[in-house]
Amino acid sequence: MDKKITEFIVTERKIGKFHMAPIDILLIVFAPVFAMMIRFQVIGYTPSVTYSFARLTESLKVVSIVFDLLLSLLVGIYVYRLTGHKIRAYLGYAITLLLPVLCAGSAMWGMGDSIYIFFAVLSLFLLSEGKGNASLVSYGISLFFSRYAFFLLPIYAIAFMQKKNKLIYFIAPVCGVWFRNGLVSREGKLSFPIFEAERLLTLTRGETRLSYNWPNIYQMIGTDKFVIEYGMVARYLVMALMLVIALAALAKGRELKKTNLAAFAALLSMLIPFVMPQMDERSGILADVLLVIVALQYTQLYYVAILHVIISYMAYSAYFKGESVVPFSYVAIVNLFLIVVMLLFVGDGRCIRISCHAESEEEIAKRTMP
Amino acid sequence: MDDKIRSLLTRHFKVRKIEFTTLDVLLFLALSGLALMMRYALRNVVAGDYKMFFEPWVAILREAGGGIKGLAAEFEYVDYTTPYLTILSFISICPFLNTLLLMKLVSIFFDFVAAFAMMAIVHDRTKNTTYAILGYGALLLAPTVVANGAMWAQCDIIFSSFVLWSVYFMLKDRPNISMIFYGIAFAFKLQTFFILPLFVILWMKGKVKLKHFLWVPAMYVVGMIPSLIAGKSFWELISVYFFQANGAMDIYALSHKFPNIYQLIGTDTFLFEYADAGIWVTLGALMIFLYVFARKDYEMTGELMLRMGMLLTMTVVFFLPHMHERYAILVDLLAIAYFFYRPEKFYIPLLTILCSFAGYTVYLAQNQILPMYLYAIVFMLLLFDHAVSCLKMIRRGAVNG
Repeated sequence: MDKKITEFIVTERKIGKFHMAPIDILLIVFAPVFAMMIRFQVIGYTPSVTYSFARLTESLKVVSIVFDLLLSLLVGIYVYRLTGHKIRAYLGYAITLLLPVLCAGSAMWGMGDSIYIFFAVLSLFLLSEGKGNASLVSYGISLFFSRYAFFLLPIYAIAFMQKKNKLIYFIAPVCGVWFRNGLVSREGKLSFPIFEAERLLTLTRGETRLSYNWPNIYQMIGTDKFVIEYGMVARYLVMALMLVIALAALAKGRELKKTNLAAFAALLSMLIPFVMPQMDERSGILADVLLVIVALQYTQLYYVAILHVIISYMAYSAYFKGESVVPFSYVAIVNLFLIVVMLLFVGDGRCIRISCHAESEEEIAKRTMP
Repeated sequence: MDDKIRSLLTRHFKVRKIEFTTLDVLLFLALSGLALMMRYALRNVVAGDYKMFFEPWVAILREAGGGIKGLAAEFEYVDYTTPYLTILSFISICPFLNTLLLMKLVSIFFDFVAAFAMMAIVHDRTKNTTYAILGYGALLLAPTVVANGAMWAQCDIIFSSFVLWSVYFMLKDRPNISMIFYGIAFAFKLQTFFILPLFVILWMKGKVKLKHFLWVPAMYVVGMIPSLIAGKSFWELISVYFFQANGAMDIYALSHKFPNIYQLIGTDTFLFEYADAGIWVTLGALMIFLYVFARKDYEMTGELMLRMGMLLTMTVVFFLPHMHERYAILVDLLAIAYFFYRPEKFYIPLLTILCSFAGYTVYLAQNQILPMYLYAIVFMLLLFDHAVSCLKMIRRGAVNG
């Protein structure tokens, strides 16, 4: 009897076009249930910064939760297309949905980060599927919603040199930035809740610091000294770093492929906020989501994803509580260690070699054909 | 249209034996521009050293007439040799800009001299112009290099740039020119001696001859000429380094914010005992390395040369007492060059520069966020890692650099 039940649970059946086991359906159904339960517990919290437009925040929270769900589905599909493993795809979907930083970011804080992350991940997914131009449009939308999408910029420059997109489509990211900076921030013509939340958040910071609760290099050298000088120097450094990364990838003949794109994007979204000044507690959330994909693609990197999510949530907690339990200087060391691990992995080309030993892109593509 | 842009960017040019693309030129220009902008952002930072030492020194030089005449000035305390004092003396009478900016400009100029040396070293190794430009950029963007000159108005990059050229010519197997550059570096700063053990090993391996070492005192004497013309005594000029070697100004701490062994055992106890003992410990450690490197039979390759240079310099700054924050700048620069030999060891330049910069932060921002002993542990682990891989390479025969 027991065997029959367990076999029933794990045996795949054809449902429409898909082959699924009941246990898969259970995960697909219950992951959002649990995710919603987590979100409902914290949705009543209104951060002090958004008191003044609490109603708008509530609607933004709902929109963010919808995008959390969409993002999770996208991660699931992306993981499936990368690995061809259904179980990993379902896990990707469920883990993203339950990701603490996403739960807190949307339901608790109502900052709407899942919107820009959705479009950023969609952009990478489209690029990996060979749709470079559509990818740029999605990237433009992502840039419109958040400046943090900027971390991924070198990828599109490399893609252009490798004939994966057309120059004319770069107008999308330019428009994204222009609309955001030109229309929204300076003149305030579009009273979009996300931008309003960010504007208020910036206002409540009070003083300018080199890092707002993000465990980066400034937490190691001091966030309150040489704020203007280091701020400017670091911006130039980031520009140079992006240029160097793009050129180094081109010089080494590294082609952007399905196998390395997510890992490369994750590395950039970890590295840039580590050097960029004035990064806040939400700077690592894009890397969190990308690392879920990378960890499911290369399971040996599971600890990088787990540790990064913990680091991100510690940064969130520091904002919510007003202080960090663990000194950020130590957390920054761990963050640096993770960046070094990813650099070794991506820079060494191991992500390419491992996938070659395991399965070629063609093999994965064959398996993932409907 | 897109293809035209791509082909324009990847179009190849050849000047003499060097091949490059439009993209390389753009990269070179962009990195140079960004490096200059970074330095421009720091132009107004005034460090304590400037107020305490450089400003009064320049004032004394100005009072004495500036230029060559100014070198006749009598200082209560100065630990710089004639070449840099000559630069300061000419700065003192320069009608443009202020002293601080001029001092910073001199250092920035040498940042670029060092960057070109790095470019040459990397090109010699990789024969790839893009990598050579990346090496050039890496040096210009290194936080310790940026902070040393453009922020702090220090001049460590001057001697370092000459040491880099010296290393380059040694890699090209031209010991005579190499030792001339080494001699010029020595004329500027005593810290040049940190890498001297490498040249001793190179002598043992027949890469350099004893007669080439004569360039070191010769260049020092040539450097003294402006002061001799101004009327200073020969013995006074020659004794500058003896005064420094005594550490007379630095006796109040065993390490001046540099993450070395003294950060692990305490920088403020047994000041006199450890100060002397530390010198002997350093010499002892160097002796052991020198014995191993000189005794064993192997081929001295470019990579091994850089590795040894780095290892020996790291050993000196780790054990020698009274080390300042800035004294590992040679290690930082050699580590950047080494990266282009072993890119998988990218953590070595990353961590050495981080450790160095920790000291800079403590001095410049008066901010000690992480205990210095943590950086000292990291530096020590890097030293071990480097020593082990260096010895392994020797054991393997190191035929392929």
